[in-house]
Amino acid sequence: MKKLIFLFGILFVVNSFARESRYLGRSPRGLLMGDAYTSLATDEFTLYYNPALLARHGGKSFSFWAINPSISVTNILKDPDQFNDTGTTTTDFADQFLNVPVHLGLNAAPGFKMGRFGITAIVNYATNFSLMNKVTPMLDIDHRFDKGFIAGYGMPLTGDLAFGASVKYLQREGLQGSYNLVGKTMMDAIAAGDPEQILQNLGQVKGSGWGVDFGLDYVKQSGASMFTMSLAVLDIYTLLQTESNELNREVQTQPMQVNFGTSWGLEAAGFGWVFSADVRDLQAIDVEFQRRLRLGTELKLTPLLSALVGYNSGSYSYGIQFDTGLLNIYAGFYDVEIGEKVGQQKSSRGIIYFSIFDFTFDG
Amino acid sequence: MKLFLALTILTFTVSCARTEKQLVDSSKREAMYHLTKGSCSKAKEALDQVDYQTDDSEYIRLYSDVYGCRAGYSQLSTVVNNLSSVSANATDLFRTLAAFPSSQEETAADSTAYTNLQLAITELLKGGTAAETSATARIAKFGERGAGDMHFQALFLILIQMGKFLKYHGDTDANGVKGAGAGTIDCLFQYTDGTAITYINGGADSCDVGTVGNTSAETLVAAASYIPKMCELIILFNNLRDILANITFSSNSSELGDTVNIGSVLDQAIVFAEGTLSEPAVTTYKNILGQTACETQATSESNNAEEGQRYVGAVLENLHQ
Repeated sequence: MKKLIFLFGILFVVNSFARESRYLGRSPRGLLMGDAYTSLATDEFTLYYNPALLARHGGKSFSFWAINPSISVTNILKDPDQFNDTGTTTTDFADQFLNVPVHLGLNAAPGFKMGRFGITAIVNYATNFSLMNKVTPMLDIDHRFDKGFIAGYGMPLTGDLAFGASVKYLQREGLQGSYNLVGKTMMDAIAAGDPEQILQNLGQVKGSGWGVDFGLDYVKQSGASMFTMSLAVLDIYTLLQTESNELNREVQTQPMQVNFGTSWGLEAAGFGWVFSADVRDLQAIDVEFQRRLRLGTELKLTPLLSALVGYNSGSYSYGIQFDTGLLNIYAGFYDVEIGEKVGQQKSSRGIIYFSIFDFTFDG
Repeated sequence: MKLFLALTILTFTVSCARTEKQLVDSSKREAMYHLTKGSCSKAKEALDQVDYQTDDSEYIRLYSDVYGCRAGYSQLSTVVNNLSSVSANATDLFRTLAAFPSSQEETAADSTAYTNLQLAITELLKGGTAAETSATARIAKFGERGAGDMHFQALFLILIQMGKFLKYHGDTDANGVKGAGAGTIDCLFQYTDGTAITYINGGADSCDVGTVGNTSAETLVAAASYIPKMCELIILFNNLRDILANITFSSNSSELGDTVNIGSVLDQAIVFAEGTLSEPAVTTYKNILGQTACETQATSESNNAEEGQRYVGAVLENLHQ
């Protein structure tokens, strides 16, 4: 027990830098609950969070998700004036957009679960950029397009404990870097004209490879209440091979993440309440604890409508879910910390997700 | 439950700190954030959290930006908006630089902005080495892209810095015309060398006598005083020429105006002084790129400082009209 306290103590005292975590995909429900979702991800996003949760899927059940896209964009409603008046000169424009993060994300996770086996496609496009540095303006770009699949199986071990494993194949196109706005690299790239060629000239590279995840899941159900604890070791061995490229750059890696999550909830007749908490990146000992902490809650107001609120690394999220059976919608707003330290630089985003024709047969 | 906790503890055995590369990337991003906010000291602190990255072009550029930040310099507002006025004409080039709004702010020698800009330039010219190196050496070290971005950054800084030097030491008016300012000064320096004065008197500029210099320059008659200042201008000029000779401007460089053409003006001035005037000092000084190297050259033998005067007199003084 003392060792456990010591280890968690390390999590609290360490204080260093980090930047926005990158994921292969996110559940909209999870995002709006502060991404505290490691022990709650029983939807189509299970394999993005913890393969052990597949063991919760009924042994003879079949679930299918065909069309479930989500779009996330910069929340321009937060400061509409910023985008209305961009000035008349390059300097005005640069001043206006200095330190304003711009985000565009497109995500889909079609797939199915058959008993304790599941497979999910990876379709994740994300572009983030912001203009930084007053002295020599630099465009900071983080662009990725991931495609592939994850297949996994969850296996009960003892009464309440389950183990899961998954394997994934990933194709990645990515560009990450900071470029002087008035510099040779940027000017030469823009001269190419074609957007795809511009990305290539800036250093976009492609790569592909296989990866492996493991997870544990502990579930204790008592009447209408349910307590869970989960541990996921994602990308414990995910190795991407870079395609040869002129600049001899390496494709962005998919680093290992060790995530712990817990939740407690009450649910009866479609009404209920869930509280969840995650501590992420247990393997990264020099990242601030606040940076790793996720908290979320969901209030099921009616069988059709839920309200979701979350806290993610010092940022907040909120939204609603509306589920008619044929059509399931999530909409809301969330902030993401993108600075090197908590509270330094936030990216405010809005997300909308819908899933149609998804179904579950309970065997 | 016990099994779950045991396996959770086991995962801590795979805990790891971030790699050196991750720490460097983090410090650079942190510095960029502070430079965005105008917090120069915090930007320097962020960069100093890791060892000086001598092989990282971006790190060096950001370190240069720390000094640029202290100088109140902004590439967009200080430079880009002024580039359209730069003239690639031998009689107008220096005048247009001295007419920059940032040049007109220069009302005292070695202002805080000037000294910090000089540090920003030196940081780039050193390129992670102990002394200023050549553009080709930086290209060999950082590659076309890394060095190319450094050279663009240095190019703009040098243009701004030369403008400040030429305005103050040339006592220009608002249009950058030498000797037309509020003072009684006609020349960049007080010259003591007869050959240098002959070159100066032969030019079309206002500096004819060659012994009238800037008020601060009046005290620079002693070689130990004027040599550092003279070398400062020589180094700015030589590196500007060196960088322009090694930059390939892309087809969409219209925002840079005539800047893309000024390299030939500088070269012509050298060709004239070296060829037509047959001045051997030009050959000696034209490829010196470092401040210390220049000062060493000027002081290593008794007549070397006078040779420096001849280089400035034959090339630079006549370009500033």
